[in-house]
Amino acid sequence: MRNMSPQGIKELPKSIEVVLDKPFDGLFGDTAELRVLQEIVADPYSNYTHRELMDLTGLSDPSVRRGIRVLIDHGIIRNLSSARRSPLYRADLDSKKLTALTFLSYASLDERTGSKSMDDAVRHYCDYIPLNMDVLPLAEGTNLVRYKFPSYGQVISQAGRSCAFVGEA
Amino acid sequence: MAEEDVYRLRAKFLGWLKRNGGAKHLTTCEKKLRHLGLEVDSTIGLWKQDKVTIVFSRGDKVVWIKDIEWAYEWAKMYDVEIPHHAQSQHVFTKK
Repeated sequence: MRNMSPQGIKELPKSIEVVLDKPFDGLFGDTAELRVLQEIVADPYSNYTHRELMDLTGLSDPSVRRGIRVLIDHGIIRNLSSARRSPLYRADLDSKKLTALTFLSYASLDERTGSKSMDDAVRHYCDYIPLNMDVLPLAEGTNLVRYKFPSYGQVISQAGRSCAFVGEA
Repeated sequence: MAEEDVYRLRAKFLGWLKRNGGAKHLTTCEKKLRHLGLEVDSTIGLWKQDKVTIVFSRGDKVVWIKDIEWAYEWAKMYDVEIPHHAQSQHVFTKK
């Protein structure tokens, strides 16, 4: 591993050190369930075996089992495997609790570091356009489009940007 | 399933570190990198020290994201910043 540069910061800032390895900055305490939850929230895009979750969280078999049960009950993770003896877990990206907890992790980071991660994430989340809508060109020669949402109405925007609501469908 | 692009895996690691408060013990990072199928030296050692660096905390080595904005750009580029419905459709129909 590389060496520290002589002029570089060698010690972790105290504001970060106090929350190091605490799930959600210690806001809810530090239980086995929270450690499993933090791991899933931190990377909801990977698959996890039971053993991998034990390795990543440093928890025992029964603790991970308990944590998984809670997360499945809350719809935050699903078991992708049909084989009973070798479950494979993945975050349910439809889970609003998962999204809210992701925002929470950014909020905690921002309040300690002054970063704007939560604002960026909210903007990114709102920029997302549902796949099941019609996108109609509004005027030739411009990149303005009309998004027709089946249940919300219509919005007009530049393609791929945040939308402004303009009226009922 | 096709193998994931190494750059996307690096973006996932940065996202993981960021959502863990921006810093994590090196030993824990090594576990996560192994989980993602990445190597420590060719990942953390690759980035400039003003972006991601290794510092000390009570005698232990800690990996710390110094440039949060830079990490955000990585995560945004590979769409691993915030979970949303479209990703879910992609994931669960891909199986």
